[in-house]
Amino acid sequence: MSLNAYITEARIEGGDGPLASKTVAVKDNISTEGVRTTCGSAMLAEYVPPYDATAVERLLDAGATIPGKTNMDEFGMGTTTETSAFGPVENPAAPGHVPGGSSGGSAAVVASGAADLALGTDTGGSVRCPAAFCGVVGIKPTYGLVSRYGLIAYANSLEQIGPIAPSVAEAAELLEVIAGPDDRDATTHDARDHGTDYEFGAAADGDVEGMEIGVPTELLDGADEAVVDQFWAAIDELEAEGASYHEISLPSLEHAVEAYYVIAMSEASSNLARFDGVRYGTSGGYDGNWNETFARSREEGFGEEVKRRILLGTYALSAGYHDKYYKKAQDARAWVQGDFDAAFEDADVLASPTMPITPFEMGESLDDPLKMYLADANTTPVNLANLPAISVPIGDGSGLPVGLQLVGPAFGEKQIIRAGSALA
Amino acid sequence: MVVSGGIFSESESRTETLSARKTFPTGMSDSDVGPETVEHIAELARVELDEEERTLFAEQFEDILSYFETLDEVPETDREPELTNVMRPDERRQSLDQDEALQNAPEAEDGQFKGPRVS
Repeated sequence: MSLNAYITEARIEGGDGPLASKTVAVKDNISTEGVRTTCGSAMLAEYVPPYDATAVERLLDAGATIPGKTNMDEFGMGTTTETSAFGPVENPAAPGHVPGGSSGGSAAVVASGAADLALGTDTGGSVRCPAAFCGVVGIKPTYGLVSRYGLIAYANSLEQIGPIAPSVAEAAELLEVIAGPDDRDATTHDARDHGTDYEFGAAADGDVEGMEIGVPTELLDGADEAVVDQFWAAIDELEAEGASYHEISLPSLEHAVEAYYVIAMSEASSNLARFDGVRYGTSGGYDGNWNETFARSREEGFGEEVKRRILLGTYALSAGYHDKYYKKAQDARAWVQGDFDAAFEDADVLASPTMPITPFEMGESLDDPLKMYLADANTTPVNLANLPAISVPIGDGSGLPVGLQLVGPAFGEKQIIRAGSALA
Repeated sequence: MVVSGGIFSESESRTETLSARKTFPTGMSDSDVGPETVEHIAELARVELDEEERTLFAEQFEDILSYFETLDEVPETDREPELTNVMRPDERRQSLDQDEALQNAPEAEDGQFKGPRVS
C-alpha cells in the first residue's frame, strides 16, 4: 500500500559529515536546486528552483541523502494533508486516518521508516501536529533559529523549518545541523547571543530532576478525554523522574486560534500575490488584460483552501476591517506573548497535549474548515509568541497516537529537548 | 521582529495593486457577506471564482468571520515589538543569472519575462 507521502522521489546525495548514511526527506515547500518544488499546489506543479534553501545546503553539507520531496497541504494551509493537489496521505500509524498537517508527508515517511528523518515547516503547528498524529517527534524552533531562505513563504512572521524524527535525540541532532544565522535571512539570530549554544544533541540526556513544568489549563479544557488521560500519564512519568508541575491559567490562549488565522491569512494574501503565471506558475496563455489573465491563472492553479485563505486575508486587511480584525489580532498576539513571559517566571517548560483530538478520519474535516482550524488551538499560541516547542509521542488514546507538547522560552530548545528525551 | 528574507520575500513591491487597504462599497455590514461581497473580495485578490465557489465561500465566511469577531474581547495591549533594522553593505554580489531567473517562466522573449497586456 502506498502512503502517497512523496510528491517527487529523487535522490540528492550529500557530502560527508554527521548525517552521512542518513536519509532526510524534505517537505515540498523547501527549495531544492534542480528538483521540482510544488508546495503541494497545481500552481507550482512544474516549478524547478534554481537554488537550494539554506536548510537544504546544510543537510547536504552534513552528508545527508535526500530521498525525495514530501507531500503537504497546499502551501502549508491545512491540518490534515488533504488539501494537497497531489492527493491525501495515509497515516502509517493509524490506517484510515489523516497523518495531520501540513507536513503530513514528512511525518508519514519517518513513521513508516521510508526515511530516517525529515524536515517539515511549522506556521501554526504543521510540524507538531503530524508528529503527534503519526507517533513521532517534531520540533518547532524559536523564530529566527533556522534560516527561512528558500522556504516558499506562506506567513513569514510565524513560520520556521523544523525536524521530524523517531526519537528526541535524533530530532535534536538534525536541528543542530540546520540551525544558525544566515545573512540571506535577516530574521535569523545567533543562539549564542541569547545565552545558549547549539549543542542540542547533547541536551537529550533525559535529566528532568528539579525541572518545573507549568500546565496551562486552557489547553486541557477542550481536549478529548482519551487525550487528557494520556497527557496526565505522561506528566506522572516526568514526576517520577524528578520533575514537578503546577497548573496555571493563561487567559489570552482562548483567543490564539482566531488571532493566528487572521494574521496567517493576511500574510498569505500578500505572499501569494506573486503567483501570477508570468515568472513561474500555471499560465494558460489566456486572452485578455493582465488582471483578467492573472485572475484566471490563479483560479486554475490554486485549490479551495488556498483561495479561501487569500480571500479572508484580503478582507481582513481591507479598509474598514483592518482595525477590527488585523489590529485586534496583533493585540492578541502581544497578549499571548505577555502571558507566556509571565508563565516562564515560574516554570522551565510548559506542557499540554499537542493536539486536543486524536487523528481525524480521512475526509472528516474537509467540508468544515472552521472545525479544522479549531484543532490548532494548542499549537498556534507558540507561533504567535515566537517560542520553541516539541511534540513527543506518549502512547495511544483509544488506539490512536497522542502527542505531548512541551513549550520553552525563546531559545530554550535545550530545555524542551531535555524534558522530551525523558519520554521518547 | 523584522519580516523579510529570501528572494521570495523581496518581490512584494511589484504587487502594489494587490496591497492592503482596499475599500468596500459603503453600506456593507458585518453580517452581510453574501456572494456579491465574496465576488468583490475575489476581484481585489485577483482570483476568479465560479458560481459554486461563490455560494460556498459566502456560507463559510459567515461562520469563520463571526468566530474571528471574538477578537473584540481582546484588550488593547501595549507591547513594543522588538524591531531592529538589519542592514548589509550596498555592494554587488552574486545572484541568479538571467537564464536561471527565466527558466520557470511560461513565456520569455529576448531575455525578459513575457506577460499579458496591461490594460
